[in-house]
Amino acid sequence: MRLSIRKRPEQGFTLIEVLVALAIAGGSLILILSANGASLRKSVDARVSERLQRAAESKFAEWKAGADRASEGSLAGFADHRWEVRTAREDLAPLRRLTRIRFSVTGPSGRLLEWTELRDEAENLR
Amino acid sequence: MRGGFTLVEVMVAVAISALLILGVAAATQATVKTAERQKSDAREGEQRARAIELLRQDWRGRTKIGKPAMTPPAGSRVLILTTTSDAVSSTSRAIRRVTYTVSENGLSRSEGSAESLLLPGPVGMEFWDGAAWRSEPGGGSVRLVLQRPEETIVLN
Repeated sequence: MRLSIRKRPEQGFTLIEVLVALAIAGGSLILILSANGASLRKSVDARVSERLQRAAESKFAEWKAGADRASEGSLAGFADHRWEVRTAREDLAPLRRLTRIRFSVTGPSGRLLEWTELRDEAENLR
Repeated sequence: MRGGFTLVEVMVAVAISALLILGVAAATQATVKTAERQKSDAREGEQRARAIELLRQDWRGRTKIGKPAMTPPAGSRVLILTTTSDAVSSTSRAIRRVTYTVSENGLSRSEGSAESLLLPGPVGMEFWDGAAWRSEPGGGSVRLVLQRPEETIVLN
């Protein structure tokens, strides 16, 4: 059976031409979809990173307030992340009893955050 | 010279076109979905960050913690702060009174006659008095417990 849609002088596309066109179209679609996926992943990563920062700040604040006496532990909401506090006496000012507090957060890929603070023990006693 | 397309050619063309249309539709749908999700995530994140920053500033600049004139309704807590933090409504820095109310409906803040809902949804608020987290306002730290996504914010 032949359908007379229109008459063309050529023989039509070759198989190779059709395959190349399909490959280009398919490739474009894959690129669009993967760019979407990457964009979504980056957005989620940024959000998680913001939450991680807030969780770490909160843990440090909790530790400074004395609500958490431990020197290390896991970070709430981030099962594979751990926080750690190290304190050391500082001899920067002979008349002051300064303590250097180093707070850090480590994740599966290593150390992610680190903050250092100097605390005057005399001010704490007041 | 050919008379036209054969039925098989037409069917193959239709099938390929359908596949391409479906693919383009899926890609468009995914793009729109991604954009919508990013928009709502960004709005939610910005809202949360703003609420925390406001409370942080007000809490840091507090000079006095007041008591509510009336007992708050069951399930809600009121934090009245006299604070030196920058006002939201003006550029001046002066002592002002702000009130935070937490309930099942969310966290709201009022300053003068202006009241705004900072965070919708259930929010918990507790205060560290040096020994334990209490519900009565006071002490040196405040803790906010947020839901969806669950987050605990401690401010000194």
